[in-house]
Amino acid sequence: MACRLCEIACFVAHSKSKKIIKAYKEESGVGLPRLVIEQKGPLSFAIQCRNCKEAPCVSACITGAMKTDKSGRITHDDKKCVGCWMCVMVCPFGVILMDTSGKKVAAKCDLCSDRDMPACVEACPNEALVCKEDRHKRI
Amino acid sequence: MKNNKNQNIVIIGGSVAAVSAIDSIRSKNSSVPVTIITREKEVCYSRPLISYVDLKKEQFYYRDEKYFDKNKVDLIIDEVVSINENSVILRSGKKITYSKLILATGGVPVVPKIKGIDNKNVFTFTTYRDACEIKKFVKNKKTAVIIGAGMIGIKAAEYLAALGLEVTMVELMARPFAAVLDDKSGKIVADEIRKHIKLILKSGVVEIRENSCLLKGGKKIKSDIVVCAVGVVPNINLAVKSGIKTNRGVIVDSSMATSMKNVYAAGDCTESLDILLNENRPLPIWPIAHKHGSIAGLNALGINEKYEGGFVMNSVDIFGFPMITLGLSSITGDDSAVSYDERKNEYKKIIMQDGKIVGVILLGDISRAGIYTGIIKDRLDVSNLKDDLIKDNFGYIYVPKGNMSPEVMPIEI
Repeated sequence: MACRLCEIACFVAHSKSKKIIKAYKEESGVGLPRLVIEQKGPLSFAIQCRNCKEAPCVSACITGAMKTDKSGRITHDDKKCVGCWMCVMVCPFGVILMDTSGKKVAAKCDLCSDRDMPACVEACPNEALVCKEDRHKRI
Repeated sequence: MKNNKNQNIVIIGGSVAAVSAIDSIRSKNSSVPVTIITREKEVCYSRPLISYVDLKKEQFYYRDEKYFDKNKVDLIIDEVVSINENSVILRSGKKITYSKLILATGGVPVVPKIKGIDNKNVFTFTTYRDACEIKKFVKNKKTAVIIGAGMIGIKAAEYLAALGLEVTMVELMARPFAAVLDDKSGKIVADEIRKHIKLILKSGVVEIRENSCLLKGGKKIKSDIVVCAVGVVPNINLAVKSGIKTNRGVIVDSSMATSMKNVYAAGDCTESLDILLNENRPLPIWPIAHKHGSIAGLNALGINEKYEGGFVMNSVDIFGFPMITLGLSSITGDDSAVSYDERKNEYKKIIMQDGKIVGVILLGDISRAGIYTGIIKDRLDVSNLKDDLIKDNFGYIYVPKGNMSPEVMPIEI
């Protein structure tokens, strides 16, 4: 229903302060929300990295910043990234964002690696967002 | 895959196709001996990164220095001079035997016939060594000419401008990136380039001298250094010498096997299926080299995997101005959707054929470009979406439902 609570939760979770007011007042434009909300007429959804099994972003990455780790997550190393946007060019879901607030780097969902449950999933009042492991169906 | 007796895989080349082959081999088989033979001392660096002047060493390498050890790969820095049945001969005279061979020799820069092209002040710009030599050469130099306004030319221009030189780019065609842009986008990009360096279109260098270049029509421009960036072609010398079938690139089948038994090829040295033209041609781009390498690696292990074809695409940053082109982006036809926001300098063009997207140009705003890439790859009919395709809020929600990942299917409320 496009309440955008997931977006807010994501932004706060990836902010430095982790505090909603501080994050929005002082860090606006910095670590972007790592998900995209789409709307078309009555339809809406939030979409974030699908952690593809054969991930096009990993194939396209010219620096080795984008990698598949042992658990199957696609991880991104900001330090290696040069912001060439090859990953943006190939992600079929369009969920790799461009963070140009400092050094240009790609920004994507990291499944909230420092939390038990991704912030967006916790924040969804409708239980529309779930986090489950199903690597076979993914492209 | 435990019986590795008499099996060993040799890979010629050290860039992305080779690394990807190693990754795929090691994902299935941890013990088969793998040897890599490469000419360049700096192994596993990322060639597209040579233009970044201030890059740290760890950023520059595509895989870290322990990569070969970790993956139990023998590394030989040498040049292969010939390929025989089950062995290769190195420049040093050494003979290396193989049970399967993967050619990943990449591309070589085209050097046009221009008077003075062999002068000491003329360089190409595709390897780390090129970048180092140029850096050394330009100390106390002031002016540079770059021949060619394509991908390599623009990166060379950024590099030389960052090193403090006054750069002039000379291009034969009427627009930069002539192979992938149309007139309008060409003009936008030309204007963007001209904010940073000089750009001379529809002209060519006819003679290179020590401190100047002579252009068609007699104009003379100052140039202490000249970088030749007119293009790259598949490096097929070794394949030709060894009797492997080639055309513009090494000819391979869908399993990346060449005409020679037990020999595979991958990456920029090959030609492979362009799904938009339905013909084989060189597709010298990073993601395709990665895919090729992985498929060649698996087939070398005896695992049957096929390459289904691809199409060209590029993401280039032009002095900070982003550009992405996909597929047959320079063709002109009636069936296209175009939008241009003059104030933001954002251009978007979607070229269609028979209801399917065959080419895309995005300038200024390239966000979510991959959705188009996915639509092209899946050959989806989007004829009923034509006007939506160039909307600002175009997104995954517009992708026909049958082609969406089931997990992200929107629910009507």
